[in-house]
Amino acid sequence: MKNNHMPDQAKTPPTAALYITCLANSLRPEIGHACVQLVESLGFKVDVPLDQTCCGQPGYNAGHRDQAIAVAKTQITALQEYDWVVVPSGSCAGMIINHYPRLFAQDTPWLEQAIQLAARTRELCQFLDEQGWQPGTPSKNHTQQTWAYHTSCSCRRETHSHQHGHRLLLKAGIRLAHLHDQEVCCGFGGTFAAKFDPLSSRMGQKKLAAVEQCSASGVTSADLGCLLQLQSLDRSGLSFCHIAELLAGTCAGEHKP
Amino acid sequence: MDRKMARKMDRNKVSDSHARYQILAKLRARARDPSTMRNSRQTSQKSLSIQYQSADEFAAAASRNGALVAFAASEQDALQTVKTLSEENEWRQPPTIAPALLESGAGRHTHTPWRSPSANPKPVGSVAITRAFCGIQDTGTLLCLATAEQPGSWNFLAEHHVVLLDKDCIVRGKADAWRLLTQKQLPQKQLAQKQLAQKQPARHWAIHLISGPSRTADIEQTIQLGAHGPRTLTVILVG
Amino acid sequence: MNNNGANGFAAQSRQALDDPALQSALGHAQSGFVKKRAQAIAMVDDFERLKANAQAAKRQALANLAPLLEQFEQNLVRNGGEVHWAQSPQELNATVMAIARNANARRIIKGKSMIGEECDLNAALESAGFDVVESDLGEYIIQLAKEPPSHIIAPAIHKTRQQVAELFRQYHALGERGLDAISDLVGEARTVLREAFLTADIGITGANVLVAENGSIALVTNEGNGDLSATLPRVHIVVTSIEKVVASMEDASLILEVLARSATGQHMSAYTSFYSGPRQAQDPDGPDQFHVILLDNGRSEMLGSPFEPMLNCIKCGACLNHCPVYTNVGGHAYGWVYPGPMGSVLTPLLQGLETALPLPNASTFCGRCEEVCPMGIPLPDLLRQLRAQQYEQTREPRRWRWGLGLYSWLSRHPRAFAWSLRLSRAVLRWVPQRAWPKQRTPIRPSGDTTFLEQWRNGPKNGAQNGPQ
Repeated sequence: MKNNHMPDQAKTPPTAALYITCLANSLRPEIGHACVQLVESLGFKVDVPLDQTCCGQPGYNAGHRDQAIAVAKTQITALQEYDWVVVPSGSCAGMIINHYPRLFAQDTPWLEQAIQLAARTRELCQFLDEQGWQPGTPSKNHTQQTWAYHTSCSCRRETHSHQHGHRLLLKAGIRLAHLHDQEVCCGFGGTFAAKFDPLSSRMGQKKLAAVEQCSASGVTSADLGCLLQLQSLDRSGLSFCHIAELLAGTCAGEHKP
Repeated sequence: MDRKMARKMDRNKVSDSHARYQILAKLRARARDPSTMRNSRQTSQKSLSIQYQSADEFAAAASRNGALVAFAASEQDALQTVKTLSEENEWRQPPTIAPALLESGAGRHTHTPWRSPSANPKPVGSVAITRAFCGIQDTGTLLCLATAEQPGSWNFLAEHHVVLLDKDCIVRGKADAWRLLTQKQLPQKQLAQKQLAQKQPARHWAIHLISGPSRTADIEQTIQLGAHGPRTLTVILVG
Repeated sequence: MNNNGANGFAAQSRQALDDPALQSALGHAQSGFVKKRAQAIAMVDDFERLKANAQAAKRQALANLAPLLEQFEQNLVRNGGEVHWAQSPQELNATVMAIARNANARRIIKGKSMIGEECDLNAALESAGFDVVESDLGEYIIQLAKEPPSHIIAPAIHKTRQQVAELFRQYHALGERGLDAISDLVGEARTVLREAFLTADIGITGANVLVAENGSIALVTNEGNGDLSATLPRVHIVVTSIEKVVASMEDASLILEVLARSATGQHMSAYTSFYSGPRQAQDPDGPDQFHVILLDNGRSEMLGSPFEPMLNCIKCGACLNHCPVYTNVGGHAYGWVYPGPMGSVLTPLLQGLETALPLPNASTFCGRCEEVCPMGIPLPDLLRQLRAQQYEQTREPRRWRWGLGLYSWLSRHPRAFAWSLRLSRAVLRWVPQRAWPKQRTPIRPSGDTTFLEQWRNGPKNGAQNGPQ
């Protein structure tokens, strides 16, 4: 996003809302804590609005436009107060930044609010990199491993933030193996994985084959959906950690299935 | 009146079918206002002059397409080159060749005018020699016209196609080639002027842009040359 | 053709995933096309500018479609050609047959035409008693195999060389000969089809672009078969569609700049020919009759609709080659002649959404298609719009309609949402393997409770509420 929204200088320190995403909230809450740690380390006051639920992408992508509009309104309202909204997912960040304004194309008051929110919203890696994040003392256990960095399709094509993630991992001293066919989808696609499971599984297995080929023992990504997709198909005991956990040094290695 | 005559009368009449009426009506009803469309094209060439390129640049591009490229000082030399190539590659003699090219003095080559393709259903080793109108450098392409002297089929029926191209008639891109062909712009090169001294007819029934020998990758994505058209394309740059 | 057409996508795609020969063929294809396109683009100074130019030419053409078609018609008629209009595949096929009968034709040779496939023209001609031979090698192979094309550029991409050799042995009575090498197969096709070119009464081709300013059509091929079909027979019929017309030769060139590079990674195909009508008195060869049939079949309805961007499609196939769904299942799974992302938009639009319900859903919206499309068609957006149509027409499977509706309601009620998450976490924690597909390990939730619950209970507990 080429936006130059400046935090309101009257409020110091600037406030950042963590938009935790429905997947991370329910399945991997530790990602939330890692994000808080990362954003606080930059000097922001982090808040987690408790009435956030889901960005509405599942309904939106299924063509339930009226429902998506209704959900978007609630999220916009929940996120009104903050200078920044930080989202540990290219998919959800992309929904807010690129698609919320499109939902309200005909409705001027809400369109204005959607545009305002979009301007304040960032995918996590994009935010950290733009704000000049520096690693603290890295935790011992994860730097032994070699990680494959899976660039999600939404980080590539919605938020254009996959290179931020790569830069941050290098800064943090994470050992990375080069994953080939990085631009190829892992096969998650939200409800696609449920609707077309054999196809989704084949796509995920090909991604895991690429991980195996680069001899990484762990997979990281800025999108939890991709990680869960790959974890559910993995047979070889790979570690799966969200990029927030690797950067914050809170990754415990393998998550128990 | 007989069918042929009726046909000829109908020939210049635009169809007034129901389908035509319906389709055009729908399109007109649904079109956005054309006046709101602005031509936002970015052309690399600000002027409309024809840009010429060198023979070497053309040769490089044509070779990349799989064409064989040779140089000759004159047409006579070019035809001598063809004779040599024929012998080296066991191409069948005699080649099919336009009368005007013969006039340039290569009388040693007798030719079999190939007017009736069905007379020669298995033209193994056959050669056709034609002359290109111009070359297009950026893609290594030959612009060949179907004319009374050089039937369009000569570009496709022979097993080996040899094309003579004047060095002065190599332009940069397709836009330059159209300008040269339609004489919308005066040519800057001498030989090109000679080309255009013979005024082009209002239309050619076929214009062929040829960028290499015939090929296919339809089986296992593996490229094979000589699918239905010529197996080899040789460009002889003359001048 | 698959029994269930596009509606059978789920079962057909599963079949495709379990077909080792197909999987191997698709593997070759993907790496070939993808790599070649990337190489060609890398050699061009500014491919984005070329794309922008092509898109501008098309945009202007679509804004002036009716007048340009009329101008095209006028010029072609002046050149001695004939223009016919067809609203439906039936009309197109009937027109072709009328021309063929009028010409006392028996044998027809065809160049590759997606419009021909769309209209199932061969079947119509064959049942009317004409002898039809496909001359494009890929189309010839699938004609022998009695299958539909599985890719719009390489119709026989799903066939291995052994399968092709088997077909040739079955249909060419040529005795003992080696057919192991691809060159043997191509050589045999060349010989067999040469006879067909020389004896056909009618050549039918498609057209890649129609040029209004001089009433000509552009034909882009590599084999030369299209040109032989257009040159040797006494009648040339071009079957094409209304959205292909552009204003000028220069505009046609702008499209050619991106077409071959996007399709096969060539800067130009071996043969790009412009035909402007029948032969003239001085031409020693060329057809006596030249017919262009302009097919609508739903395209006029797309103009001025949210699906108008799809009219920019130049049928390069780049979207197919880069689509993770297509490259895993191939073209037949899509049930009709247009596969991959472009097929998932075009099939519902041309044949009706009810015939192709799975197609718009068979996408992860990864966005790669839009990224590689030279015409900038927003394919994921168009697919989403088709999904919206499904929802509005209540054609979605009930469990999804209600499930997503419920989820949407919950998303607007944070307390109910939180409660439902507690329930889901419990279910996921305890659900057995058999509730999941067998190749997947169940995903279990981590932590004691959701992140929002943990935050509510103690926002500063960061590290203590970390991983288990």
